[in-house]
Amino acid sequence: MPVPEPSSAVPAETRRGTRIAVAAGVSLAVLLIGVAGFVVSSPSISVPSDYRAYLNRTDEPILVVESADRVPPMTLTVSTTGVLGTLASLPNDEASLFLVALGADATDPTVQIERSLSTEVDAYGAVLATTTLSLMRSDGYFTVLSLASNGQTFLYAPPRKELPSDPVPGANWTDTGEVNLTTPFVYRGSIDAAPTQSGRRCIAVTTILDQQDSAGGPMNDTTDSTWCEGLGSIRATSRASGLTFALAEPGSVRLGEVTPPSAASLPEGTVIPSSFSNTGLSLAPVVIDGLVVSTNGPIGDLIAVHPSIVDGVPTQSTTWIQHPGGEVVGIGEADGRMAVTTTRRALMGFDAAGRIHWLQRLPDVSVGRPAILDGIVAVSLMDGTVRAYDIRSGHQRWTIRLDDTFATAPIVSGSLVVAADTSGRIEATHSDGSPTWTAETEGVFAPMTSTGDGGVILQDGTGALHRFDRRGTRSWTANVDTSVTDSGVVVGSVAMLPTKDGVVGFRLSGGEEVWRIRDLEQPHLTDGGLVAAGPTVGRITEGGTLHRLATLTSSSEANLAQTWVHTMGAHILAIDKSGVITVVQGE
Amino acid sequence: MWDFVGAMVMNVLVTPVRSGTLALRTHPASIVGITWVVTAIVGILIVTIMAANPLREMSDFIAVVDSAGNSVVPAFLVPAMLLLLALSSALVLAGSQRLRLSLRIAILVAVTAILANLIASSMTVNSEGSGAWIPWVALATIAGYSFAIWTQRTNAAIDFLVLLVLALIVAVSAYRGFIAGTEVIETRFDLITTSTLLVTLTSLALPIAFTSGLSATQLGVSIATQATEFVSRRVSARVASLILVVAIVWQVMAITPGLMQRWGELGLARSLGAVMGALLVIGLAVLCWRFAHRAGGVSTEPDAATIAVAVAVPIAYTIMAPVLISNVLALIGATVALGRSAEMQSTVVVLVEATGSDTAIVLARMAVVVGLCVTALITRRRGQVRLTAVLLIDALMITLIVFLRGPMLALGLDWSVAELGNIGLLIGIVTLMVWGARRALSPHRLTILFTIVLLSALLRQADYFAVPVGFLIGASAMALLIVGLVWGFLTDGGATHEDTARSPRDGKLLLFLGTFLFGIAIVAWAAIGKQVYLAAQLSSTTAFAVATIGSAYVLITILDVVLPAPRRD
Repeated sequence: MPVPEPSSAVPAETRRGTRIAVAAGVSLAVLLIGVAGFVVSSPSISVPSDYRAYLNRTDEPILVVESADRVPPMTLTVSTTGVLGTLASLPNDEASLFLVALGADATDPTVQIERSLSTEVDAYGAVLATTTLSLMRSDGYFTVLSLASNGQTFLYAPPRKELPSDPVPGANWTDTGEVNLTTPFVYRGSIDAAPTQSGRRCIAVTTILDQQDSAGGPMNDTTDSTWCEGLGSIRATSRASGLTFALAEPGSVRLGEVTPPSAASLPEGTVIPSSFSNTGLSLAPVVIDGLVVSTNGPIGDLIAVHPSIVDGVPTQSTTWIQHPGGEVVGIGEADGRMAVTTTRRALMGFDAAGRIHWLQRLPDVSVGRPAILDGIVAVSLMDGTVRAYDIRSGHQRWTIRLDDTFATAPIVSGSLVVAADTSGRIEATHSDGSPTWTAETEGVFAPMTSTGDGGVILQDGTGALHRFDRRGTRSWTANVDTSVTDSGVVVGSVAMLPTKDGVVGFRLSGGEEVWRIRDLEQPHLTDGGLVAAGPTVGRITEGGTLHRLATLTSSSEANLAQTWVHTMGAHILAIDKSGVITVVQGE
Repeated sequence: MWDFVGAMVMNVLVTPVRSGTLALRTHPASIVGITWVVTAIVGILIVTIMAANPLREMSDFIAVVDSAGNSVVPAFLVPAMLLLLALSSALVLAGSQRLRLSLRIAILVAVTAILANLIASSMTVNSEGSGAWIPWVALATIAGYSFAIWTQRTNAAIDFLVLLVLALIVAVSAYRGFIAGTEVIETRFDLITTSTLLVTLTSLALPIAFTSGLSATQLGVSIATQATEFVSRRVSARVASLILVVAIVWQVMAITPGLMQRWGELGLARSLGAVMGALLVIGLAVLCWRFAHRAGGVSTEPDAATIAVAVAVPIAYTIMAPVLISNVLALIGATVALGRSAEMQSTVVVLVEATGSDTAIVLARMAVVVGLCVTALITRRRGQVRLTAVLLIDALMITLIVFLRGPMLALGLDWSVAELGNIGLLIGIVTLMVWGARRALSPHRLTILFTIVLLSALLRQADYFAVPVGFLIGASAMALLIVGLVWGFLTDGGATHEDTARSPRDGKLLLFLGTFLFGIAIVAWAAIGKQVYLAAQLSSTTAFAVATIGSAYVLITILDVVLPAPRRD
């Protein structure tokens, strides 16, 4: 009689299932080890200890500082960089000064620099901007250098300690050194306990500065400040002046209006060296009355300069510097106000003095320049929405959602804001948010051109050029065998479009190509047919004739890879990538 | 009604998936386990793509802003992409090294070039001498182990795991190098180098984007044909006629405003030219169909869907060949010529530009058309009528859209694929009226009419069923690509479950999984990282496929119903 199989035999299906699970488990385990490798390698986001715990670590590095009534409020922005980054942010003379102040710390890779950038307006309307550089070292937090736009400079050698490495109640310290390598200083500090604020640990720091002024007289002051975790010094009172500075949220303090400096009188042909730092401009500059505003790339600072002649020397006076946080994506300007968007998903309203009036958090990053119309600023976000905010108060006015994301910024045409997404949907909206017209084409990736009457000219993803009128009707379609690279302008009956190899003129009514100017690299067009392309600056007439106004020169060809042209009052200015300004047409 | 829905779900969705990629009975347990892990990862990727906007909203960003453009991505995305690159490299290598020699060499060279470029671009002053040799040794081991696989004595699952470990070593080492570089130059070195690499690698995902266009079209056709089948067989002739009339009226109302606007823009002459052009295309398609069936009208071949997918893959890789070769050469050149003489660097540039030039692209497309036609003549002689029809009509649509669009436009024949749909609807309306007037509407004729009307709608707007996907993710341009990728992943892998002469099934399956995973990873990068130009490149490739071989498939499906070939059991 055959012997039956043991009843405990595992069925084949079960064995297969087990092997499948084992294989899946092993694969998953290997992947998870890989994930762990990436996690360990990622930049660590640890909560800092020692004095770093009390430094400004908020997501919003922008804080409006409220002061005593008799002193107008200032805007303070803070950023942390390494030595290299700080050097890149400073003009040559100031960079040299900074290296002197750092001494041996300049080559220490563990050293970080905190840059505090403040800007305020005095009773006479003059802007005072101050850059304070502080050293973050293993043995404490030190003030190194303070540079003010009125020329006042304080260099502390060795740096004076603001916080010791372990800032606990009962700690005290004394530093001695020289200010500006000339006058001695003694700086004493002590720490007491302070009550917590909003759940944050705080300390009370008292510092006493004894130094001499330029005439040799005593200059003493005692400052009582409160430092809280992650916020830095939230309140500081100077016993000598009685002034108290306290932090406030942007928009919580009314800053009042300020008049931008008017354009200085500049003779034609004047070449004004750059004050935009060594790295050059990363965004097309904008002009607000007498100011030229742009950003420097790696640092993400917003810089405003006032080109003028000082003691016979052409100078770009740095009027103010602010660090909005992250990197600046776009700057829009109108009526003395600027709207600035950043990679930190923020939209901010600045005035001509560099003070921040309001800050709005956006759900995503904006694309290109904000469009400003009738008191509102409109931004296209990568999440496919167009959002509008009041330019003065920052209050949100309206939102519309399109079908896809954006590759190009919204533009103003007549009384409308027009936006086009990458699926080809085009929306035109009034400043009050009421929709006006909608149209469809292939995806839009190139900058649009306003026809000034509520219509646009745009190039779709297939390369075809279309004009949509103020009712959203497609007036004409033209084939152009090149790519539009920037917004164009309309001069008379001709729409001038910058392309990758020149400027092309199209009849506005019918879309016929009427002329083409070649060999202009990365042309930038502005009102009236002004064009800057590499070293060439000129004016293009409606008939397609280029009248050269100037040929720019530079020590480096790279500086002329991208140039811009702007009007400033009666002047025509050409600006190269390094920030050098050439007066093409003067008063 | 519920019967209809149930049958629809079963026939359109369930059955193809059951017999598709995940029908793993013929594979060993270890391969099945790996497949399920990869499928789960694909599923997670699809979910993250669908949730791109909310995911971005709650993530920290890393950003690079310069005159070339802005790149702002969630911080987790860079290491995630490197991980996926390592995983797909391991799958692709483990699979391809078991297949035919030409494929082994091509893929080994490509993957090695990609990983070498990754390592080279991550080397910084800080990383030299501090374990910098590790990723190079790992890469050399990958190459050596791949040769070992050629002996066909290794186990596919073990091969994959070994290659995965080595690829992860390369990826993690590169990432550590990126982070070290970021800390030195205070710029997001990791984002810059990963973005640059992925721009180049996007070309490798274009063939998958192309075949996804066909997959998406096939899903649309399947929905339409199932609906047709149900209505014509399960519903009375009177009700079916009523449904048909409603469908026609609804379509007419939907397209009339757009048609009026287009005719207004084009004018009468050009509008008539568009109609003539569409009729010409349809006539040529009918001629191709007749030619394919003239040799002898019987066929025992697989269905048109299976054939179309099989033909689509070589078309995709041949059309994309210049871009693929050019980019692989660029990767090799960037690695080899780094820091070398100017002459070597300029030689690399010349080679890359030559292989990726417009001339090379045109030649590749011509080669596709010629190859399809020549193959069609051969298969016609063998009596493979359905395959012949697919080859010929694919060749026809590629020729018309790629080469003859301009000349036809010059002749005033401004047709479009959407115009084909309009003509199809018109033919449906006229035919209904004629048969209706003669009271000759049989169930078979109703089937024909439903096929024409519903598939004409698909010709007019191939992405209609992807619209909710686009709305959900706020990326309508990529919706069809995503639907095609998912459907292709689930259903196109059916052919990988059988051994063929030089292609064991395990190798085919792993290669399939790696290719699709890579394609979906690139789409995730484009969607979550808002890489608009990458997304446009992928979407336009899918759209190109829909317009050419997708339209061809729709036309074949219509012709198969209207002019059926006799079938032999």
